[in-house]
Amino acid sequence: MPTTESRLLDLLRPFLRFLPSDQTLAMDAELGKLGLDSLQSIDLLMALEQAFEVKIPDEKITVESFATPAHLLALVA
Amino acid sequence: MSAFHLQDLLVQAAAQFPERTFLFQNEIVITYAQAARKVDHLASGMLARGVRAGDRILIVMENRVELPLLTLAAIRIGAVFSVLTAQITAESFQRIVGQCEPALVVLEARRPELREGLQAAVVWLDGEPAARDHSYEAFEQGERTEIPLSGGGDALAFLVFTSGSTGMPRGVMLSHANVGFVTKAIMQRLNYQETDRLALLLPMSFDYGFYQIFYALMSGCAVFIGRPEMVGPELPRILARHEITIVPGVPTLFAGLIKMQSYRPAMLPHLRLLTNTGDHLPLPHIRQLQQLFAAARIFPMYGLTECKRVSILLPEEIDAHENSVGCALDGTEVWAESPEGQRLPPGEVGEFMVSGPNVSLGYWRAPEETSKRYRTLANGSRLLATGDYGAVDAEGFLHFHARSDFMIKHRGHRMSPVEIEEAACRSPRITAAGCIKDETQNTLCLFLACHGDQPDDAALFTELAQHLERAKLPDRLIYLAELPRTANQKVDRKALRALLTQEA
Repeated sequence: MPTTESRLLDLLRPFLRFLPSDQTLAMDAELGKLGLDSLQSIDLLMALEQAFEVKIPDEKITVESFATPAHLLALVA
Repeated sequence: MSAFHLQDLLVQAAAQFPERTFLFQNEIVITYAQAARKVDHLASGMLARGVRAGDRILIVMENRVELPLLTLAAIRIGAVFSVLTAQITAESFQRIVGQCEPALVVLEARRPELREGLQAAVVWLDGEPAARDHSYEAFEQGERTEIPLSGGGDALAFLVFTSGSTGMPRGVMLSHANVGFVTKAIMQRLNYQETDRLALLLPMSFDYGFYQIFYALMSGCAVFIGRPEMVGPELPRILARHEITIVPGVPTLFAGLIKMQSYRPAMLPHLRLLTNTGDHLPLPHIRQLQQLFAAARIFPMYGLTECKRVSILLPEEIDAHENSVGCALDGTEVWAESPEGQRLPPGEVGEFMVSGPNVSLGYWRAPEETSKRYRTLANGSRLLATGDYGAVDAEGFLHFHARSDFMIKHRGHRMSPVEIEEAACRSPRITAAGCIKDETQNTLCLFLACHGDQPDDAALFTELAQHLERAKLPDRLIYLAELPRTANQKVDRKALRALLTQEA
């Protein structure tokens, strides 16, 4: 059974066009620098809520929440 | 009567709406009266450092309250300013510095590399400035001195840099009279009120973003200084929290708003005006916005930096004139011209020509490029050949068809494919590059040929990012054994487009 963390990282990878395919994604990586833009963050939010069967409360949906995998893990864990 | 000066807008606003909020961001709130005082201090600081009327001032920063104040101070002393994107590469910045020979440059501490080689006086926001440089605070808190008013009328007020067809930056020269005319003409149709609260999410380096400052001065509305990164999941709630009534946008902004509001609606009863520019807002998106925001009026518009605004379609005209971008601004004239230079009858497609006080002064230090696009008529009025093709119908409504050149509009930015292709070809393994926009997917596609193994996509993106701003980075990299060529050996972009169509 994959961990929440590894499921999150797998889900994130297709959103990161600047991340080399052979490079691991660190939990503190800056997602913006790896290619995630604010519009894609909407698709990412939808994907997260579906995959983890959660509804992220409005007040937690901020620009900062999408900064790193660790921030996102806090939203879904 | 003396000529119109952009400073008049600030003086009038400070007199008419002294206590009203002009700018707000985080905990900072600046009223119109406070802004007028700060601008006087900043203008005194500029004068004290030897900046004179006609000198150039370059400003490189994110959207923040200091930015409009600095530009208004430049206006106050008759200097010529230009706001450059905060994402500018050091290379593009150097080119613009070379063209402008600025007397003053304003930078943010997080871009120290832009300081290299500058001859100008430098003002820093955030952090401690080095010996010869100045801090913004010292400027704003400095002594206030007598400031002679100069400039105004047809004098140059500011420069807006856009990509030229060769990929070199080109500065569009706007006069006080140009900006004053356009501001009044646009407000006649959009009619902002002093009770309005506007969300400025477009970067102020983009002219429609920056012009919102003038519309605010004219109407007395409050401007929330936002950032482009807010156009994502948080957007509807940001608009709700600040009780925003006006959102000036580009199609990608509205696409994001539609997507998020459809997925997770926020209560936005205050929203009353949505204005679109930069690129065509597709009719299905207009319809979705109408459904999602029943109380909001939507204004599709068309324009280009060289004359700012050409036309505005009123919300009540949308149904009867689907896909039109509206009528020409009052006091201006637009027609379609044949390749032979004949004015075409209604409904026939030709190049849009614009005549009126909105036509700018030309391109900065580029007389040849200026003479290609600008003409002066026998009666003295200026004429702009837009490079856009379309028709004007019998009632005067404009219908946009296509650009005549190969310039790309993407995410609200105008860019030259040549610039992107040249950046790619600087990578040692890339042998050829062709860039086109996939309009159906709204993606920027870069076709590449290379020798040896394909470079890793991420590695190539890193190289591209040294020469190109973020908005110009392609969304897709597609490798071909060889790129299709035209008879004279240029990359055949039409053939590339056909490849995308086949794929679909």
